[in-house]
Amino acid sequence: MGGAYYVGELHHSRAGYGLIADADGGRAVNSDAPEIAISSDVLRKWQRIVDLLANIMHVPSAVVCKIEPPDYTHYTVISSSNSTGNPFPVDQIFSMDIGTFCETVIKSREPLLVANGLENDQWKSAPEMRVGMVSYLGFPVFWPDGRVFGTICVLDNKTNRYSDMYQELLSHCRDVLQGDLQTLARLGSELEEQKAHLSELFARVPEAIVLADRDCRIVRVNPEFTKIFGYTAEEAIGRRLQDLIAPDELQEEVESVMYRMVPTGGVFAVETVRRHKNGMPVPVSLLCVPVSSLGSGDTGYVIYRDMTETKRLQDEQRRYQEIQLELAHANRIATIGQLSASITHELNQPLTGILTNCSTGLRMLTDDSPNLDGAREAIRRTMRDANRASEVILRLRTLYSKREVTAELVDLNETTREVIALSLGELQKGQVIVRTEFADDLPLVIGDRVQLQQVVLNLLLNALDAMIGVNDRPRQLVVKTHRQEGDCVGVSVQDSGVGFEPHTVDKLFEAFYTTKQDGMGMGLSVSRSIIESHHGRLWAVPHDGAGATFSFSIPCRTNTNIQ
Amino acid sequence: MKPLRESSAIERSLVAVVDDDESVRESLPDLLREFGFAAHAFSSAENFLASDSIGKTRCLILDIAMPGMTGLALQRELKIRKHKIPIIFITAQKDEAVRVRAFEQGAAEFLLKPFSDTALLAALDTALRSS
Repeated sequence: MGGAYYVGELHHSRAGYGLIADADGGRAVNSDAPEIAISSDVLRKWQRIVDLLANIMHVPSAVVCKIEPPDYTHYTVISSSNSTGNPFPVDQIFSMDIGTFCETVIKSREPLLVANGLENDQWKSAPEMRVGMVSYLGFPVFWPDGRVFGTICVLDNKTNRYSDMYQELLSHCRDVLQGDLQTLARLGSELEEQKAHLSELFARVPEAIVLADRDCRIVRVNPEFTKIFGYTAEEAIGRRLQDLIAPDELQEEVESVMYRMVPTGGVFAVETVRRHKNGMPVPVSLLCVPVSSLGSGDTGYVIYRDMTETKRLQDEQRRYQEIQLELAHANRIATIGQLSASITHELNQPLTGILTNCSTGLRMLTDDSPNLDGAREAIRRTMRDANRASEVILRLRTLYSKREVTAELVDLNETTREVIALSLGELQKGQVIVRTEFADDLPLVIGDRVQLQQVVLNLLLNALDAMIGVNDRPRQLVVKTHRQEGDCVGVSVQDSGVGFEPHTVDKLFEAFYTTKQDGMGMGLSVSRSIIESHHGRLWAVPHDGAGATFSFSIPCRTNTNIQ
Repeated sequence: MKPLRESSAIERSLVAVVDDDESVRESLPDLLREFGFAAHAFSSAENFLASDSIGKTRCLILDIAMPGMTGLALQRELKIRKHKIPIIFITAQKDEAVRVRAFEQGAAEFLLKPFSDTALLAALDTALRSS
């Protein structure tokens, strides 16, 4: 750096001082870039520089000027040396169309040296002349992106040619300023980037975010807030949260939530309900994030997650389970309906005993020589039979009852035995020969005993129905329980009935598929959903000969403790 | 109704009961003894056929639905063996076809469980008169 700059070496051809020339030579306007403030510590440093410059170069004035965006119609003195005779105070503003030295440097983006403006036609009427500053040395100061920031310059009240050393000193100071600007720009862009990320987060997060002040007034909302609650940002900002989105009956809750939002407090969550603009309740899960504000008056962020869909899915799931339960129950009622013969049989047997024993006892007591021992025995048997009858009723009532699914330890042997007992009358009526093969030491399973009985019952009655038209061979039913691989236990029901075509096997388990005249077609479908809800499976295999085998297996939990 | 125990003709006559249900096997013989009969109960048709009571039995009270040989089958078997024992059928199930069949095969009476002591007495009266 060095040499002298002469008056008239101006380059007005440059695109513009507020603009940068990009690689294409086109105009890349950077006026959108947010203004980067010059921090006070930087300004203090620059003040020291201009003071030193004035002192070293023995001139009355050393200043730093800054062109003011976005219009670039004027520039301001931002640092000015505290030196005797300096006519330019800080904050003095110069218009960009009065022909000052600095105006020229900014427009030309070139350094300028004027040894004595009075000796030059171009400069003798420059504004600086009027305050006695006849000579000038100034350098343009640039932002890292090439935009002109302003100038750094020295002025003198007498002819001054500014030696090479002084020029180099001023140029060096300019470099220092540019270094500072680079740091500021980098910090600024990092800040901008963070702000941009935050803004994007704010805009795109699928939760409504509200920034509220300590009066619960809404300071800021994101677009999702409008989606969830119906209010635009304009409608929301300035309103109190409890007035805007809290249902009337939850006013106190909102206030207590906001009360907890103290800067020293932690983040907390609340499941509650808020109100949409249209008056509809919105189930929400809200997260309160208090912020330790720097006196801004903001209390914190409230983040609302719309739980409508979640709740809907939960309701749907619940409804589905209810329907399953209803179906299972309807199937049980229908199935038990088919057990009328069995039930009559099961009840009439003990009733016969009761009636007979009572007659016997009465006769023994009213005899000329009462037989007390005999009567006592008859009454004892009466009680036993009455208990037997009530056990039948109890079993039936359990099957009939509509109740929640329970998880208990179930012995499939016992369960199957009970079902066979219950349907024995039916099977005998159908002249079916029943054989059971129960596995010893069958592990218990966890499940709903009534539902599992229902499945066994469905399979038994299906087998019976499949054999009812068979007259050319024995109607044989084999009921087995077995332990299977993979810690599963199962029940299989094997009949010698009409069987089914292998390709219809999938249809068998569909709802409303039936081959029976009076069938609903629900038995196997309900049975399969019951077994699947026990994490097991139900399947059917047609025999090569006559009949088919229906089986299910469910996992046993040998090591599970039921409380 | 005429008390049967005063009829010397049938006093101590053996009435056999065949039923797979234990409470019937326990209760019915006692009542029959109160009526003045000798009584013996069997849990299956096969047991009755194998017993030596078969020749002494004056009346048979027989269940219809039993595992193995049913009541109707026993009735046919007795006919084949030329045992003319009057039979009172007892059943817990109302089945008209079975009832008709039983009478066609010569049943003396057909009672639905549960039955009263008077109904049983009347049936026994009918059965024993028929023999």
